Amino acid sequence: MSLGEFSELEKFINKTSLEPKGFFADTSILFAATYPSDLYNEDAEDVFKILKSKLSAYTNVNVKYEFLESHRRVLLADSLCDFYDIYSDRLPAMVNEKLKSHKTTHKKKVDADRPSKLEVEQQKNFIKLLRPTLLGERDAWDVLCKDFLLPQLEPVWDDACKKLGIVEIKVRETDESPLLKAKPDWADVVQIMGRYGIASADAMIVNMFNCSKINLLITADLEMARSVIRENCADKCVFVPESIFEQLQAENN
Amino acid sequence: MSKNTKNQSANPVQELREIYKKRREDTLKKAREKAKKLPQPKKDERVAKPSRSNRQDLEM
Repeated sequence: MSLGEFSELEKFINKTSLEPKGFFADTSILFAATYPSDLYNEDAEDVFKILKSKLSAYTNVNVKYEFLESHRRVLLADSLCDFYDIYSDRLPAMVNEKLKSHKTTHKKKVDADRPSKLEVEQQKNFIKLLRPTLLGERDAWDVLCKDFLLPQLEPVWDDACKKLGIVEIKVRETDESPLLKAKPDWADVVQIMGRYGIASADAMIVNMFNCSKINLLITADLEMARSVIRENCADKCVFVPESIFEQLQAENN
Repeated sequence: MSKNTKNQSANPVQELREIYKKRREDTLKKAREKAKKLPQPKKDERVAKPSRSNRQDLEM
């Protein structure tokens, strides 16, 4: 197991013969590459400029699930601001007040490159606020979702696959994938969850990387990198942004 | 990593930024057109059933 930082990635792939010719991309790096306000957006930009023409970006269904979920939440937060801009002259004062407050807070977060995803409780509150509010024959939550969220969310995964060279590893009972050296097993996933205290979706990503023949993981998630390093599988390596690399180096020394 | 990389072209992340930006603009354009087609409601028609008992749930 080895650890590297993004600035050394080009040198690494030029001197290393990777087979299969690809790397495992987790949710954090794909989200960073596709969300301009993400802290690691520019790091991801440099990574994909180096890797896109040379290597495939392998993922699994858990990465796709987390990726879409993250985009749903940031797009909902953005869409509420856009919805307010367009419909504020048709909304009750109380609704406008809440939307204006959200817009102000959201702008501050985006300007400071802080996470701007809509939280579950916030979403519940906006549903309570917008469902009873009518815009013509439709309720305001319906307008927000169908006219603002859906057109942007629907193509987001396919765009990323096309531009970033993403290949999804699909595992079914009867399949034998040439990318896997062992079949992913639920018992191993639970072991990983228990050993590191990480969420089931993240544990499935770690387990898929362990079970695959892919030896390079690119991540911008400290806990993901930590877990993979502690799994200590032979021939595997993890590359992370500089700030995460420094933290992991300090922990391991 | 350099901030000015955002201005360089011909890289996949930059292309995605442009795709998302254009899609957002297109989405807003269509949403504005739909909003224009809606008749302006009378003040008392804006909310179906305003409920004061729910107001405390709306604190965000």
